[in-house]
Amino acid sequence: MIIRKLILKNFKPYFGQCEINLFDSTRREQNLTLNIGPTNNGKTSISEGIMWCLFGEEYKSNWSEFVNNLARETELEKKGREVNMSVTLEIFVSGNVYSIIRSGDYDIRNDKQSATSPSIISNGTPIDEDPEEFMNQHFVTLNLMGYFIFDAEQILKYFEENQEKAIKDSIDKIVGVGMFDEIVNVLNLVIDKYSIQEATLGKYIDTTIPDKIIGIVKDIEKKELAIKQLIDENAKHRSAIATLFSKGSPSSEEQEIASLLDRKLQLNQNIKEIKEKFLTTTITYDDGTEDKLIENIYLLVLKNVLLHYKTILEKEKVTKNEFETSLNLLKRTLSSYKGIIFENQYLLIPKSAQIELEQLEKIDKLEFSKDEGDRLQFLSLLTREIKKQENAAATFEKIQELYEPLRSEFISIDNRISRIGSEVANEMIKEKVIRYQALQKQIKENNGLIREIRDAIASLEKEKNESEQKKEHDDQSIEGKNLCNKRIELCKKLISVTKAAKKEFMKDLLNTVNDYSSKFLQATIKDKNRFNSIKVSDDYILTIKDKNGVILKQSQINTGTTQIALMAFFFGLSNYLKKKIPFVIDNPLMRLDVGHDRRLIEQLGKLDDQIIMHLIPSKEYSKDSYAYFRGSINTQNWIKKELKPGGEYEVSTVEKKDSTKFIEFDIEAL
Amino acid sequence: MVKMDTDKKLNILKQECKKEIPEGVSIIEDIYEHLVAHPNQERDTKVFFIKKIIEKSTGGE
Repeated sequence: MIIRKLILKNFKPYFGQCEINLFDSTRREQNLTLNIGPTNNGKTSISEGIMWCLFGEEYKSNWSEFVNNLARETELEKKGREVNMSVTLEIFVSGNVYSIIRSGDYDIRNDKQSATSPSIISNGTPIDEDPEEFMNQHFVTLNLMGYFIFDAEQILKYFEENQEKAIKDSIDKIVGVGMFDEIVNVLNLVIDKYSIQEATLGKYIDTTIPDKIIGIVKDIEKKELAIKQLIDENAKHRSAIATLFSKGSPSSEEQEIASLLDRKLQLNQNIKEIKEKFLTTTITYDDGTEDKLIENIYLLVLKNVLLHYKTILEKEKVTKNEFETSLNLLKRTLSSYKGIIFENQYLLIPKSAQIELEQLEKIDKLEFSKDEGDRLQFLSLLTREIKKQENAAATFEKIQELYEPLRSEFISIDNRISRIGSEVANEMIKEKVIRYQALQKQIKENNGLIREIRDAIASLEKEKNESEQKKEHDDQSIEGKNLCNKRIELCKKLISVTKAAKKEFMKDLLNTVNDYSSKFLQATIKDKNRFNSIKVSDDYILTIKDKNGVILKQSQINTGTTQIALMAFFFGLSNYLKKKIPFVIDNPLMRLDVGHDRRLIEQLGKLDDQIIMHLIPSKEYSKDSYAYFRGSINTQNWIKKELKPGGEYEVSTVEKKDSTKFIEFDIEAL
Repeated sequence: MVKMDTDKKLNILKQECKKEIPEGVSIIEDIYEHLVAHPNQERDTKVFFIKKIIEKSTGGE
């Protein structure tokens, strides 16, 4: 691309329309365009004009500041309201000439600027292509244009002051290598999100559930087997019943026999219990003493004897004869009762009865005949003994009351059984009925067990269903967790790939830039052996190597060489973009010492790109430097600013000069 | 940045991806194009979209 012409209208110091020729097509071999003029005379405004033309409000949102002051004043004097400002950039691309025009109206009184957009004209008519597309195709973005249109002095200063950062920023800006870091950052954030999701899902998973379900299933199987066994068992019992009774169950008579025999058995048991009670029952006397009932049972037998005595003794006058007869009778009676029979059990007379006999012996010895006192004493003794007897009898009767009904029933059952059949036959029926009943009982118990087991199975089934639901939920959580982990792994791989790609891309980028920069350095530097190549490392440190590849220390490199190296790197970066956009450089030689500046001029002259330079006379443009420029100059413009006659505003003008001659100027006049 | 570089970076990314995880190539393409198309998008929104891309690529919710 060649910038042929720039037409500025009311732009900054350029009042009215000012046409600046930047390329002479008769001198195609030469690539340098020099705009020479003192500081603050309008050179930088040329760069700004190009930028505004290309980017408009994106470059300068408040572009009304660019409106020429004299144009404002003139419009106000004419009672006008608006100033039109425009920039036309005429370029030559692939054999065609295009004019990029940006124009805007500024409302002076209301301080308002109109919106602007570029229009592109070729051969007098707007191009068919969308202007935005055209711009994207032939130019770079605003921030990258800074690598084609720049102030070398500022750039060098920035690079000197912020070496690694400046290099890193430039690389990032130009090639967008930060995109790799951006991908890594976002993927790391995605990993964080998935990690949180994974941990949340894991919180609610119960790892014991699968084993629990297996346990329940086994338990259910065991229980079902148990049911089967019980059903089988019942079937066997029913078969056994069928062998006992042809009709499958005992007749009513058979059942009665069995029932009576059962009842008899029960009565036996009850009677036995009553007998035991009889043997252990105690009686309590009025004086508080206690005796076992069995130990006083003899009194029952003696009741009548004693009553007889009592009757005798109650008589006021009892003869000795009568008394002795009674006493002897009593002795005989007592001596004949060594024991008693109770319900087929022979009970010995207890020792206490012997004691009573001794009492009777004592009575026998009493002087009884006429002694009223003895009589009364004996009567008292008898009364007491009778009282004891009554007490024991009352207790015994109570036991008898319990015993008698049982005994009656027992006898009645016996009678009934003997009426139905023989005892032996009945016993056989009873055995069968008992067997039948035992089997029925077993069947009933088994059925009860089956019901219990079925209830337990139902409960287990419920538990199993709940566990399975939980497991289903857990399985979903596990699946979710696995998916999260799978995605985390994928993100990690993508990060690894992105980092590797960045490394690869940086390697390619730095190789290209280092290669170009090194060639530029070699072409520009005098001592090519000492300062042989440039290398920007992965960590953005710019180093200079000698011809043996040894990295030189900072102290071994002079300022001029550092500046050339930085500029070489800068051109290397611009070159990497592979856009054939002309360079427009302000103050390219200001910071370079003699020697370096000349070699830089020579080097720039050898480039294929059009290079438009804004130079300050005397400092950057002199007869000496011209000698180096001469062979490469395409166009020379002299830029100056002067006061308009009668006015207070200075206006810049551009005068095209002969490219083959040094522009003479009066340094003092500047 | 210029398109050429975008393409070049993406190509290098794709090549690296092909070596390691061929199935990740389309994911890388999607992520890359999303980030290029939305350079100023909020961090969370980027994460949201890239999660969606990953989810879509690996299946399931």
